[in-house]
Amino acid sequence: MALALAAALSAGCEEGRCVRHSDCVSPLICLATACVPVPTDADADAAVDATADTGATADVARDTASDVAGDAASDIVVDASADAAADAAPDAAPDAAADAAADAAKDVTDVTDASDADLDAAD
Amino acid sequence: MAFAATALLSTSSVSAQPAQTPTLIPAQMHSITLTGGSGLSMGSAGGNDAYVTHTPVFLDAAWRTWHNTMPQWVYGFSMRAEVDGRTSIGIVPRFEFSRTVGRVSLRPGIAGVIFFAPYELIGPEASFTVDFRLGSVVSLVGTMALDVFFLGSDVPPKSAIFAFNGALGVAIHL
Repeated sequence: MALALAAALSAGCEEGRCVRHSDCVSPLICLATACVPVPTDADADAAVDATADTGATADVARDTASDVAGDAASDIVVDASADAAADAAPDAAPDAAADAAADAAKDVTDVTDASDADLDAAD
Repeated sequence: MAFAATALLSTSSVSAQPAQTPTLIPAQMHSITLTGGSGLSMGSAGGNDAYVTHTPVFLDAAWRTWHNTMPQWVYGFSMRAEVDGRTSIGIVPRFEFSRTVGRVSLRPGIAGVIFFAPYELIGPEASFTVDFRLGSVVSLVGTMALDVFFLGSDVPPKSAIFAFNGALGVAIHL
């Protein structure tokens, strides 16, 4: 048993070979008994992910631009409506008051005229 | 404890009678074993692609227990730490069959090796332990074990690790 232990301990590690991930230096992993960098297919996947991310970023940018334009348009419409309402309100109120006064005056005139007509008839 | 005391008293009370066979006081027995070991590890990724290197040196502190009415069934666990080129720690629950002949106990057993930090390495272990009693308390212990690891983050993809290890140490019987 001791001989087996001694023989096992004397068996050195061949550079770059491994049986476990922990046999390799930190950035490397064990693949098919050899210490290798992270596989290239993973890199390809990462590139695909990066492309997808770029696309997503572009989409986000486009969306953002659209949103900004849309928001701006909405703001313009809202502002225009608000301005129009605001503009109309001060104008409308005096107009309505003037119309009402004119109508009332007209009614008073009509009543006066009717009274005059009645008096004339009595005469 | 009370049962053991009663049995002891009953034994002493009848000890004056001739031809009395000694009474075995039922008790749970324990031992602590400290060993260090290494061996050969082989990694295989299928086909002819295999590589053999030495297993990282490990230290193993084991607790074993058995009942003296059934001393052939031994169970327990150990804490195992790799200290060679890396540092890891694991737990090894085990079950053994013990056969004692004179001062030597032979214990074939099975166990599960579970390294859990800083990586995972999991697999079964078959072992054969020789316990040579030096006295009433201390014995020398030698173990040969075969491990197969196929689970865990430290196992390369599509691979398995076979380890044939030996360990030497000292056991203290409590």
